[in-house]
Amino acid sequence: MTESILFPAAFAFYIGAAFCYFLFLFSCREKSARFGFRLAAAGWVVHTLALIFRTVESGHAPFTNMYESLSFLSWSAVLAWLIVDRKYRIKTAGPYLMLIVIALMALASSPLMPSQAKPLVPALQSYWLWLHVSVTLLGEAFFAVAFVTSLMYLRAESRERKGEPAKNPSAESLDAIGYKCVAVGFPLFTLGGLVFGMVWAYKAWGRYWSWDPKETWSLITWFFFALYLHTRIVLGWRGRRSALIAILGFLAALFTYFGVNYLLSGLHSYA
Amino acid sequence: MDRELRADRRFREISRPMNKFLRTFTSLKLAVALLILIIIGSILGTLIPQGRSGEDYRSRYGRLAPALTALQLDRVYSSGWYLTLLALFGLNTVVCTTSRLPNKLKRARAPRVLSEPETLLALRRHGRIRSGSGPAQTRRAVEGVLRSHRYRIRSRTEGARSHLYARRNLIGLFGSDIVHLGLMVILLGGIFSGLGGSRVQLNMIEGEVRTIPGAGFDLRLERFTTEYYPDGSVRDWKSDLTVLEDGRAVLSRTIEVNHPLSYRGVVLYQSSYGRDWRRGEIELEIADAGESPFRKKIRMGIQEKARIPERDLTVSILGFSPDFVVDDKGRAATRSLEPRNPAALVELRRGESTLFSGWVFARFPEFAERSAGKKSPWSVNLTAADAGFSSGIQAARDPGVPFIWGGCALVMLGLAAAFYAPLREIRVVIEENRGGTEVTLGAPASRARILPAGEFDRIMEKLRTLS
Repeated sequence: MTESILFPAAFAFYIGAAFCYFLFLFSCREKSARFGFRLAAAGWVVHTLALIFRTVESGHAPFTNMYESLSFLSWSAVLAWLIVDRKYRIKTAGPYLMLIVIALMALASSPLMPSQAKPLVPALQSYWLWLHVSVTLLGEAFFAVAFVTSLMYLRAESRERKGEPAKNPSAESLDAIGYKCVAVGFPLFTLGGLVFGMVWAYKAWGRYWSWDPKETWSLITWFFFALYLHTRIVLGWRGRRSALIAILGFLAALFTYFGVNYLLSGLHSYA
Repeated sequence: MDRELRADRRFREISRPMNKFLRTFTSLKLAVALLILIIIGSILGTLIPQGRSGEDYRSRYGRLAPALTALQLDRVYSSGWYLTLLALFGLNTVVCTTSRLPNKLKRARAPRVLSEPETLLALRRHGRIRSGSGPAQTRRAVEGVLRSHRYRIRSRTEGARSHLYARRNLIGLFGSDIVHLGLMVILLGGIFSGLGGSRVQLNMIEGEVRTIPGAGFDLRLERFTTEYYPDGSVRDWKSDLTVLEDGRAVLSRTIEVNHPLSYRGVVLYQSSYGRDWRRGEIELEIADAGESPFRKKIRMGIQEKARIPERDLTVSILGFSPDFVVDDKGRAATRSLEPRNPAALVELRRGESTLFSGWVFARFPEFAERSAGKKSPWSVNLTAADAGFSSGIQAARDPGVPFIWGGCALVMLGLAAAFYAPLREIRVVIEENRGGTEVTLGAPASRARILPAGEFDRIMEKLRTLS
């Protein structure tokens, strides 16, 4: 029961944070950005408690259905944002990132996602559930931050090309921060999504890889970010092209997460 | 002589395009092109249902269906073109990695220590400080600061200048190579799995003994249990297995979902469960609403015939479907093995005359559809249908698996090295200048590395307090 109070409370904090960040965007007052950061951090702490209570109440890892995993993904995205903002000070990305978080939280609270905790089906009863889902979603959270900075890069770049004065953060630093997010997220996604996924699949289904749409799409996501890294590190691509690949990569990650469940399930017999 | 020359020229004519081909093949541009093609191919494989029947594709794609099967789009991931793409990608990775390795090894073993102060000042991160103390003392202080940041130092003195080359996280330099090696090991594992792997699905009932093909042992299912949650949903399936060698029991173990048993290179999984309808039982209620009313319930096996001697009747089951549906050809079929909509095709005879014949449904008694004996007062109701569970056990042999885990470990090690412990280098030139000592530092910030601005700045700060 506690979780059903804490989750909306965290949601309210995030909405407050987004409001402050947008206020900062229009008024350019540092103070509101700082307040936004604090609200996001407070919301994250409340959200952490919500996840802990959820785990205690249901007796299993808090990501066994869409509601739970959406909640956890929002939590990871806020965590990634707090880390990145603390390190690189890119508060102008705050409003957009919080908007994504709010969208995820709203989706989680919508009646489409039954929030009721159900007993675990046999295949999910494994500690690999913890390892696989949490590490994957944490990696995807960093991809989400890279997605936001890449979009902001595209806008900043077109502004700078028109000769308008560079704002802070500059297009160049947005590009670099995007890379750093991918550099952190890529190993996490590889470990959680692919390696842990293969180990668990081997334990539960007897084969480490069976080309089911979820597996294939996570591989596609991985390929996108491998493409991002190689074109950048070896071919020296920067800016627009890099940003576009990062955006496509995050969209592929989203499709792996949602699309496969809702769009491809009609074609395939997997749940 | 003349002939030799001509041969030489011809050879060069052949080798020129050959060289060009090789250069293209080793280029990263090819890798990028292949990666994009693999992405497109993989996406196609998720959009087009895989491994269906030709009929299914015809009804789904109409006239496009033959082209689809010709392009092997019905089995993308085992198709010639997809595997060729993967193989080319693997080959390209090997060539790209090995062609860059000698330079890297040289850089690791014998790095260039000498540097010009002007070049250092042109690096992404650089700094210059002046110290009042002598060069030797300053150098010791600089080395002390770098060592405290876990840098290893090589030095060389040339004339009045001392050159330092300091670095840490050497493994970061080889991170990408380790990742690529890991990927190749995984691909190799995949090949071994594809060529040498085998798996059989066994649906066993309690007490049954089955031979695992090619494994040299038999398997007996002692007990199959289903555990439920209080709300009735399934909690777990468990099979108590005994491994038999030459008829002798050598090992007893319970397997459950997520907890397989590995024996002699064969892994036994609890993969599914089913119902053994061949040994299923149904209960029928047979009634005569005519002049001498009669009503009787009988239990019988699905593949048996039953007699009702009181009325001289024979009951036979001509068909049974635990989860009745009518397929697209209008035939009776079953949707699952669960008794969700049990239906039986029952025939009731007395001598030569058929009293009742038709499908009867446990859930919908009013639907009983009789195809014969329409005017007879006899009726049949299906009142129960049940069958014991059978355990679905998968026996898999997969020689590629150790390679897969080894490869995964290498990939993760390499990624961690490349991204979380990137190589860091700092070059220093120390020289006497106008009565003091001038120290010039420079650190390359290559695009591959994440050099936190913090560390170089911290080192500079410490050095400034020294001077």
